[in-house]
Amino acid sequence: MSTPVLSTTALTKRYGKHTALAEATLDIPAGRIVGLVGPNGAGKSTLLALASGLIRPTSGRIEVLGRTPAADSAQLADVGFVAQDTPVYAGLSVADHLSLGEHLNPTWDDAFARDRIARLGLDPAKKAGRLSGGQKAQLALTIAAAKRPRLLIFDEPVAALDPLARRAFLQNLMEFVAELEVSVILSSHLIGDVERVCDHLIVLAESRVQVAGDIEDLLAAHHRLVGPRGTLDALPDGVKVIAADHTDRQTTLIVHDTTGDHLELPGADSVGLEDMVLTYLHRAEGLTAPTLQETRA
Amino acid sequence: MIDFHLEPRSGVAPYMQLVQQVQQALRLGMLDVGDQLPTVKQVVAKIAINPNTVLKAYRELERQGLVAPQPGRGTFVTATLADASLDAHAELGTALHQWITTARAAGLDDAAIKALFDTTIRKAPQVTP
Amino acid sequence: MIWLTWRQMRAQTLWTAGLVVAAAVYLLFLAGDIREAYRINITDCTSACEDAAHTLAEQFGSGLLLIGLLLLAAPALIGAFWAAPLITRELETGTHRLVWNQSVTRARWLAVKLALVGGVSVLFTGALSLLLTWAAGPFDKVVDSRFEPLTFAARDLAPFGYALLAFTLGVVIGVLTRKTLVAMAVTLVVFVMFQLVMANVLRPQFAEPVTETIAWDDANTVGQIDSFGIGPQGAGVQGYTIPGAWVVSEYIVVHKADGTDVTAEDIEACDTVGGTPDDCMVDLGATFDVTYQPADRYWDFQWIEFGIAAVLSALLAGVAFWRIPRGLN
Repeated sequence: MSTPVLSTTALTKRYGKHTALAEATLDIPAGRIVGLVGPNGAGKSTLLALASGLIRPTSGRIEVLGRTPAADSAQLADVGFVAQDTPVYAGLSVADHLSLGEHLNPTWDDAFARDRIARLGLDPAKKAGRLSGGQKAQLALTIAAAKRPRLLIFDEPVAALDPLARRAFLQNLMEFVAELEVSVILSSHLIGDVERVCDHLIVLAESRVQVAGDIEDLLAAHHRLVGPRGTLDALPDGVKVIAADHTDRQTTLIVHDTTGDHLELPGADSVGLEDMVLTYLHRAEGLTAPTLQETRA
Repeated sequence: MIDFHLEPRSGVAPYMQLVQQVQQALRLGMLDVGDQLPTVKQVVAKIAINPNTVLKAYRELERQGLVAPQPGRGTFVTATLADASLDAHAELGTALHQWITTARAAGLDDAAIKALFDTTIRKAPQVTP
Repeated sequence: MIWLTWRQMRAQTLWTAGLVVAAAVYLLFLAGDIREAYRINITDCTSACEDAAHTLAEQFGSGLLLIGLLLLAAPALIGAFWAAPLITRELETGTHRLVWNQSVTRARWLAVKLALVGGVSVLFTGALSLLLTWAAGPFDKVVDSRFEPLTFAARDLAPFGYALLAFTLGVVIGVLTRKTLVAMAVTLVVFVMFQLVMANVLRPQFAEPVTETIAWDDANTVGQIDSFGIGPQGAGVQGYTIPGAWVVSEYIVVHKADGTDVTAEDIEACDTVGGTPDDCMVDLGATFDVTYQPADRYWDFQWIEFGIAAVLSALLAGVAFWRIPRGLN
C-alpha cells in the first residue's frame, strides 16, 4: 500500500471568526487525478493552500505524501503547485522562468522543460507579463511539472481561460500524467472538465467536505429512487437520503448507499456526476434541489 | 487509426464511450484485425482525458477479446465485429432514412426524433445472443 | 536562490551601483581639493593660520554637510525602495505562491534575500561612509567636531548600522503591512524618527558625561567660548566647545571664587575698572562647570550606535523569520 498523496484528519482553518475549512478528513490514494469541486468560497483554495504548505492549519492534521507540507526542500520537490491565476514574475522572461526552475529545483528536468516550451510555441525571450492567460498557465504548468514532482496541485487552473486554452491546458496536463506517473489534485467549478479528466472527487461546500471518493464508486453508490409517495419511507440501513423531492403523488430521492455492498434498491436509476455534485451542493446550502427528476423512463 | 472523442453529457461513463467507439469502428469495418489503437499518451493529449480511463477502456476491450497489447509496441486489434450484420447495414440504413423522412413529415424535429428513438430502444427488450 | 535574487534585483542594483560610483568619483575629486586646500591653508601656513583654518572650514563645511545628509538619507531610501518592496511586492503580485513551491524552503528563500540584498545595501552605504570619512579627513581634523550630530551619523561605522537597520525595518514593515506603498511610507517615517531619537535621546546617554570645573583663565585653552553675557539665569557662557568633545551643557552659569554666581553688578563693576572682560573675570576667580563627552569616547560611541542598530536589525530579522516560514495567514 503506497502512501496516500493527501491525508487529513479534522483539518480546520479559521481566519479570525470566519471558518474557511472545517473538520476535513480525507484520504486520497496515490495515482489519482482528483477533482475538487464546490462553489466559490467553499474552501477549495484553502484546502489546496494547506496541502501546498502556503498556509498552516488552525487545527487538525495534514500530510502530503506522508509528510508535513513544505517541511523541507525534499518535500517541496515532491509537490508541484500552481496557484490560482497562475502567478509568474511579470518582469522575467520565459527563459528566466526556466532558469528559476533549474536553480531552485535539484530535480529539475531541463530538457523536458525546454521541449515543452518549444512545443507550446512560447518565445523564450518574451516577458512573462506579456503572455496570455493560457500561455501563463502553460508556463506555470511546465515549471511545476519539470521539477518532476510526485503530486501536482492546481487551484482553478482553467477558470480564467477561454475554452480553447482550457482544452489545450488539460490536454497538456493529461499528457504529463501519462508521461510522468504523477498524482494530481485540481480544483474546478467546471464539472464537465472534472468528469473528463478526474477519477476521484471531493465535493466541498460551506467549508465542509460533503462527499469524497473514486468517481466510479460514487456513481455506483448513488441512485435516484422514484416511487409513489410513502413507498420510499423505509430504506435499508446505510442508505442515506441526500435529497428528497415530493409531489402530492410521487417521491424522488437521491440516495447514497454507504454500505459498499451495492444494495439492490427498488426502482433505482443511476445519477449523473453533475446531478450528484449539485445535489450535495444544494444540500449544503440547505436548499432542496430543483427538478432532479430528469426522467429516464 | 481510430480517432476518439468524448461526449461529456451523454451520461455514459467516459471509458465506456471509448469502448463503444472501438466496437462501433469494428462493427463498421473502420478498424480491422492488426490495426493499432492510439497509445494512451496520444489519446490523452488529443482529447484531454484521464489516462486511467484510456487504460481501463483498453483493458475492457482486451477482456472482450477484441484487442491485445504487444509489449513495447502498443495495442492491436485482434478480432473484428464486422460480422454478417455488416451486410444488413445498407438495407437498415435505407429503412431508417425513410422512417426519419416520415417522422419529419409528421412534424418531429431532430431532438424529438432522437428522444423517441432513445425511449423506444430502451423499452425494447434486448435479446443477448 | 542566489541566481533568482540577483535576477530580480539586477536592474536596481546596477542602477544604484552607478549612483554609488558617481558619488565615489565625486568624493575622490573632493578629497583631492580638500587635501590641496589643507596643504595651502594649514601645512604651508606661515601667517594668520587661524584665519586660514577658518577659511578651509568655511570652504568645505556646507558641501560636506550636504554629502553627510545624503549619506543619512541613503539608508532611508534603501529601506523604502529596496527593503519594503522586497517581500511585499511578491505578496502583492502573488509570486510568492510560485517561488515558495519550488524546492527551496521559505526560511532559505528569506535568508538569501536578506543576506544578499541587505548585504549589498550595507556595502554600498558603508563604502560611501568610509570614503567620505577618508575624503573629509583633513577637514574633520581642522574642525575637530566629530560628535556633531550630522557628522557623527555620517562617518565611520554609524552608517553601516543605519543601513542594516533601515533594510530590516523596511522588510519587516513590508511583511506586516503587506502593501508596498504603505510600507515604503511607513519605513521612511519610522526610520527618520529613529534617527532623530538616536541623535537626541539615545546618543547622549551612551555614557555618563564628564563634568569638569574650568577656571576662566583656562577657558580658551581647554575649549572655546562662543559668547558670554547676562541671561535670565545670570551671567553665563553659551556655545562652549571643546575640540573633539561633545559638550552637553548649553548655557553655563559662571561662578565667582566664593561659589556664588557672577551677577550683572559684577560685570558692571568690571566695566568701571576697565581692562578686558577676560581680565576682570579672571580677577573674580570665575569658574564654570562644563558637562561633556570627552573626545576619546568617539569610537566607543560609534560602536555603541552601530551595536544598537545591529541588535535591532537582528530582532527585526527575527520577526521576519518568525513570520514568513510559518505561512502567511
